[in-house]
Amino acid sequence: MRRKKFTLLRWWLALGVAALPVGQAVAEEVAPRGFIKGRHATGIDGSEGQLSELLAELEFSGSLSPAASFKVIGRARYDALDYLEPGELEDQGDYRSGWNRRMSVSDNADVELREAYLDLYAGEWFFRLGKQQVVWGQADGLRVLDQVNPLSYREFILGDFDERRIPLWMVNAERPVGDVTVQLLWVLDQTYDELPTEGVFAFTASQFRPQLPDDVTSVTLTAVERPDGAFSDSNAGVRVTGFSGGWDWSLNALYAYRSSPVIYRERHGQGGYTLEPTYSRSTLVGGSASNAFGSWTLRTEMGLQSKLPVLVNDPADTDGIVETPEVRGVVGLDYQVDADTLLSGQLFVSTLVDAVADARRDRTTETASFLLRREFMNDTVQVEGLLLHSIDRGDGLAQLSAKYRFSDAINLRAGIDFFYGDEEGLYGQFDKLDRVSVSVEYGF
Amino acid sequence: MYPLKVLLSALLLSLPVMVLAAPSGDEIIEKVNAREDGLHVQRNFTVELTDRNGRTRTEKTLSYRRYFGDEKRTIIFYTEPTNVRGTGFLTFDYVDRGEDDDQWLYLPALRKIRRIPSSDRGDYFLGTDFTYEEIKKEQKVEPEDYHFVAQGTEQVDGRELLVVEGTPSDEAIAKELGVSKVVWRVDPEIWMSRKTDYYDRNGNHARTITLEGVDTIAGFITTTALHVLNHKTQHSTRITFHDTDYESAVPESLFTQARLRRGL
Repeated sequence: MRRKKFTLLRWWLALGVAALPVGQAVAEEVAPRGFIKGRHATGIDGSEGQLSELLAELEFSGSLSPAASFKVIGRARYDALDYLEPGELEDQGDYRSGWNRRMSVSDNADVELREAYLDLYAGEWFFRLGKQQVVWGQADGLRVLDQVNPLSYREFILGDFDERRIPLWMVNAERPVGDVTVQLLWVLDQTYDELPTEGVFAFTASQFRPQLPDDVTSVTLTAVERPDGAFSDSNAGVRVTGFSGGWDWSLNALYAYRSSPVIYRERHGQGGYTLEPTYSRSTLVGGSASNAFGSWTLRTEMGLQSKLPVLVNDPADTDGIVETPEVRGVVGLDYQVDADTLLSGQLFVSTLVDAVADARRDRTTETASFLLRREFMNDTVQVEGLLLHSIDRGDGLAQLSAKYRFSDAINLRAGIDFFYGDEEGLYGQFDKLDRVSVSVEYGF
Repeated sequence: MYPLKVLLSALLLSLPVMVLAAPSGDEIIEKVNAREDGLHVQRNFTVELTDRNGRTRTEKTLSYRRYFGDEKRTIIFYTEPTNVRGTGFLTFDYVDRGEDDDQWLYLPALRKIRRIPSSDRGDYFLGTDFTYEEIKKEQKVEPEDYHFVAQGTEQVDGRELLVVEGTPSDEAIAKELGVSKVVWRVDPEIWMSRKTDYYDRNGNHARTITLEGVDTIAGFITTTALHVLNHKTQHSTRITFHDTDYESAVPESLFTQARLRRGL
């Protein structure tokens, strides 16, 4: 394993060195940029704080030649409360590859190489090589095609999406072919979703845990078998994008491990059970389309997942899992009321292709989102209301925030996050974690 | 009587000469629109947005424009301030007025390109006091939008400028552009309006655009600074152009969503 990592590192370095023109050892221009953000969140009932964080990102980017440039982003985080991920970061090996881990400085602090990539133009080809984020699809927040990078759920779905997406080491190649652009991805990084097992936002809803029969006498939870073959367990994707007849469209395919493990159950002996968290592969194929009609913008996205493991209640089932294809889709409609006001609605639907008896989830699930955003005072104040509502479970999350651009460098933000509904729902499980938050961000 | 006869004769004789010398409103606008602006250009521009309290926000951009036949494509990358850095804007402007322009915005916080509605031509461009139509036309005027009438000349900052008054061709255009009247003061040396007044649909004086800087670059008469004051809101916008370059290559492949996503 150690030898493999070393070999891969050497490979990446070789790619980087190969991109340097002869005799040009340093970048022509290196521009340090970044931000420092202080953020505090506390329970609405005044019970206790959730986080009191100082986050700093430092970015260096520059040009090596007319055809080569680079970007490196590092992040340091200090949380005075340490309630989201109590203690030092442990067990990262369960979900992060050896070359994509946060470095724990103390219980309260960690540092991380967020992104580091080289951009190369070679004829019609464009290559982005290194640790990066790739975003597919047209939907906001609700993921259908946006499956390339895993997410951090340390703060559930609160916080900036860009900060929650976990960049991966990959080869990203693009080139135009006729009127379309083809993108090829080769993901060599076996890093998956960051799901907190303890801390404020640890998942508690039973729908995400396997059902154990009544005769259970002992349960053994095995360590996660994270795929770790850089080549044999690599993911691959292809996307074709085009613009025709006023429509932006894409066709996507991703052969990849699902970004979170599923817990298989194995019975042995009299009432003894072993639970095995396992990552499994599947293929996602789908596409997206969007167009503007007057003040309206239509966004659509659909995907077919070849194999979705579904937890079942049936105690007689061998492993507590039934696999079925899944179809997901989202339709979004944006209305630009005026130059300062945006209204947006989305409907997300997931349905299991095969009927699964006694499944822990409904065959069809639906989630709706509504967004209202308005800017005031020379665009220095932005007020936003967002509602995410699970139609089948009746739970959801309502967010209200106001951002004030105090100066070109300083932003102030205050917000309320309000969870409601069924405690067994994705959102309702955090019903007691309603919070207010404030932040100050200084960019440079 | 003799002096009067002489005077009348002189006036009558000189009348055809005066008529020939003074171009009509249509002729002036035709010359404004005939000004060459190059197949492609790259330039940096700085936008200063000032509100009624004198508070100014400054945004810096890199922009590229290229003609694809009659179709004009523009891509703009925001570089400053930090809270808009990385934002990109791509637009395909079509000649056919019946065809909506296509526009995309890249939002770095989402790492996504958003298709945005083609704005009404009279809508303000990305928070400025310039309309999409003014940004798109770059100091030119769509001749089918107005009836033009020459109104003689006017002295502005020591220059004698040709005054043209335009009224919208029909009610739909008046509504779309949000104007009842526009007055251009065109400098015949450069065939650009140095001062333009816009009147809203109620006839109120709405905005004044002032050409603050102009230069000849690579043989093209080029705007280097433009200011607009919104008289209703007392909000103003100044755009200053730097490093305008008509000669360096601006590849067609720059005007794509892939490039918008990657940035420069």
